[in-house]
Amino acid sequence: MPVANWRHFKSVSLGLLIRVASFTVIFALLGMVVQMMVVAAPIFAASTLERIDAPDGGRGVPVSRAESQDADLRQPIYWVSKGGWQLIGNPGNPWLWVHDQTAVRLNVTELPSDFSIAQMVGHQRGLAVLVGNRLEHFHFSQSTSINDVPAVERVKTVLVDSDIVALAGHPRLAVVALATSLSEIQVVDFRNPDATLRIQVDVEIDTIAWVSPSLIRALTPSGDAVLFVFRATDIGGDWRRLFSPTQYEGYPSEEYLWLPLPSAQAAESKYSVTPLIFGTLKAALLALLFSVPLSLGCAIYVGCFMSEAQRQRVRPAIDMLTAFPTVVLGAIGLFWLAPRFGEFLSALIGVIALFPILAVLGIFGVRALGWRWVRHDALDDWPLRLLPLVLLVIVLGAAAGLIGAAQLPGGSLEAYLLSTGLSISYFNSLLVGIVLGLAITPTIFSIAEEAIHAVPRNMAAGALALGSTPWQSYRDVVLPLALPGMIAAIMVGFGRAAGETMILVMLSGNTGILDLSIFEGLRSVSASLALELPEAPKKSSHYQVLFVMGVLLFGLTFIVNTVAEIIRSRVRMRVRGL
Amino acid sequence: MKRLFRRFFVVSVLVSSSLVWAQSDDESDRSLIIVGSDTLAKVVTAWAEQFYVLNPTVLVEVQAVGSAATPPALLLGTATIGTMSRRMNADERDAFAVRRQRPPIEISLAVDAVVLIVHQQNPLKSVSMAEVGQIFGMPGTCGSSMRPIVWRDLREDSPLANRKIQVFGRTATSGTYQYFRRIALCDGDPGIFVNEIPGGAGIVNTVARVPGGIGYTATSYTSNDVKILGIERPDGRILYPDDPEYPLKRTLYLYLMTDVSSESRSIECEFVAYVASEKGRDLLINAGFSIPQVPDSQSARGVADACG
Repeated sequence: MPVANWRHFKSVSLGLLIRVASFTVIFALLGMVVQMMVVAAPIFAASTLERIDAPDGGRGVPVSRAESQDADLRQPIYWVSKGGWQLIGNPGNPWLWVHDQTAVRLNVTELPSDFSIAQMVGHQRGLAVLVGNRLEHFHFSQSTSINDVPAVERVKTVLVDSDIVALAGHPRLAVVALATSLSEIQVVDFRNPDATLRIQVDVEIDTIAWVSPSLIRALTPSGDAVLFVFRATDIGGDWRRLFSPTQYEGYPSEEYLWLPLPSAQAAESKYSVTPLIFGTLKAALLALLFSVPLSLGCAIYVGCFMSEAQRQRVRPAIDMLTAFPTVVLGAIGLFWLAPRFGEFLSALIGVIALFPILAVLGIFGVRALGWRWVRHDALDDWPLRLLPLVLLVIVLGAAAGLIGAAQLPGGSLEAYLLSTGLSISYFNSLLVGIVLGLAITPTIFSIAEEAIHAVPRNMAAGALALGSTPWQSYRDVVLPLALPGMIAAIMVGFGRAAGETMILVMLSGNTGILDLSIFEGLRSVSASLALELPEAPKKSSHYQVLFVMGVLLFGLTFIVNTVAEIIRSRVRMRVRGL
Repeated sequence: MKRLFRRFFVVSVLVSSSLVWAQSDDESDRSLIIVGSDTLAKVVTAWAEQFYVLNPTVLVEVQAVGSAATPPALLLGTATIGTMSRRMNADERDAFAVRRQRPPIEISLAVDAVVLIVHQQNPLKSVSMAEVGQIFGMPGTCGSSMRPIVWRDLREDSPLANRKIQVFGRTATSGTYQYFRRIALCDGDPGIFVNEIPGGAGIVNTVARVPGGIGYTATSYTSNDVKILGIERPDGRILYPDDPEYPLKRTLYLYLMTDVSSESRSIECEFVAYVASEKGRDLLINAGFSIPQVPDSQSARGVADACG
């Protein structure tokens, strides 16, 4: 029968098509994750040093930087500050600050006078000094005037072989190249002194210089050149620098800093992802703080108290809010909430403080007047009847908050906090938490309500029949069964808040500070990705670090969502038997 | 719509022109290739479009790949006009001079200033460069040790008193950020407390709403909602962005490969004349740049007159 064959063919081919399509999607998603990891991986590569052969023995390589460094060795001026202070050093003599116009001379007691070789290292701010077998790294502070003598600070001391004959500082990083009398070339990374790179050559070396940030040229006494390629990522092959406090050039102490400099090749970029992860967690937890009471309260009301007919209308409406574009919420926060944040905060405090009291008073008051439509057990059928009361309570609470704030010394909440020494940043974590909390409320509500609704109604009915009050039956029977589902809902909400981008870009101020204060800004992983990824040069360390953060963010939301999904499916299994 | 059509038309002409150009030599002198700065890309493209409308027989091609592309392009002759957001350095000048037996013709095309802005109600009128370093930089930037946290730290009599100085800046990928970092922060790091706002207009809008705010942006983005600060020199003089000595100011340059004064009525000359014309200047000013005050020999007008 041709018809049957056609049907058979259609069924087989459609089935095959669907299988292939879904397999492709799953495979593509997995591939994307793998791709992200592949892009990110080179950042963890260890630094390498290898000898290369140049066609003409390296003589054709332009060496402007190297020659100026050779000149540094003969000329005792090492560094000149913007204020005109020159650092002058001669082996065996004390170091001096000499002002170029007034010729004022000051001894630099912080620097050792018994050094054999000294070279500038890094981005015009560091000095590497070799004293015996101690290689010491110093920083200067920039100074712009004659009144301000640059400060000198020892950063690190590294022990090296004692037979060093030449030394050259990397033009950008805290890295030095050394040549020993035994014809060994070493590259010491002050940031990671354990990982010294060594390479043995067969000729005698007496001069060494950096031709470019990745090329070292060593010269033999007869003038022959040997070239070495030094490859290092901006974190110097040490993954801990992404997460732990790091000593950067020109800073007095170890810091967590996120200061990428995509196009300024001259300066050291700082990639500490800790402040960003901290910002992401801070924003997500603050969002939960606002969202959990709202969404779970709402879910308990809709799931337990509302009649089925009403629920059928309310749920889709809130479900639709799940898809509300967060950029619109961000814009509302930016244009409406942020400019009057002080007033909003006072009103919010008033509502939160007065809501329970006013709500209870309102219901009892109305019932005392004999208005039957607010019998508490009748509310389920027509919740809109409660709306005027709720609105009234919110308006009263907000008014009370605003009036209360006006009574504070200074006349407003902001002024009062200011007098106590607390200044609210325009873009602050609390603002982010409120708007982000609103954004994730529908999601948490939707999943939590589903969990509550999945508990069979006859459980509650049984409890009621045995004499418990409605609230007792929900509290002791329904909610404990739904609790894992509600926890799962909170976790999904957390995952959404952690991955949310637009609200963070618009409202967080993007300040990468580690500060627990809710009145300070924050910088999240997602916002950094959105702001920097489009501009980061491909294959740069910046690009790779951004992908590391992408993988971390993916991992975080993946784990949280997976655990939540496992909890949810377990709950479904459990209540199915009831 | 008309504009879009015109743009498409220019592009399609360019594509076909490359074919035509490859074939016929006599057409080649009627084409104009402009290479260079990304900062000026919008203006140069607008000029090229308008110039094409006025001279439909001339094919204009604009390549905005960055200032660094200009010197080699002029040296090798792959472009006859180049724009740069910095001045050619000595090496680039020398290389050109060796090859062409004369230096390139340099025109000071436009001035682009980075301005410091505060809220309209802030009585602050000016800051010194040292204070800029303190406000925007990490502690220690430009040798400053103390960072002013609240407005009273900066000006004893500021009515903003204990209000925090809220600092707004561009994101690290912006050219304005790089420029500001290099000049105003002595090549030091901007503070981590600086709010990073994507876009120069975003900074203006934010500072307009924050009484205790201060930010920096390119002049072209400023509006009447914010106050532009002057920069106080050590000798007490206050410089505003229209002052030639204003420190946060860079001149954008136009370089010509050909010696226009020796060839009469060349296309390069016509293009420079168009740039110097009222229409050309209007496009430049509308894009937020200002016209530099330079001697005639370095201005577009002067060069155009010399070759006419």
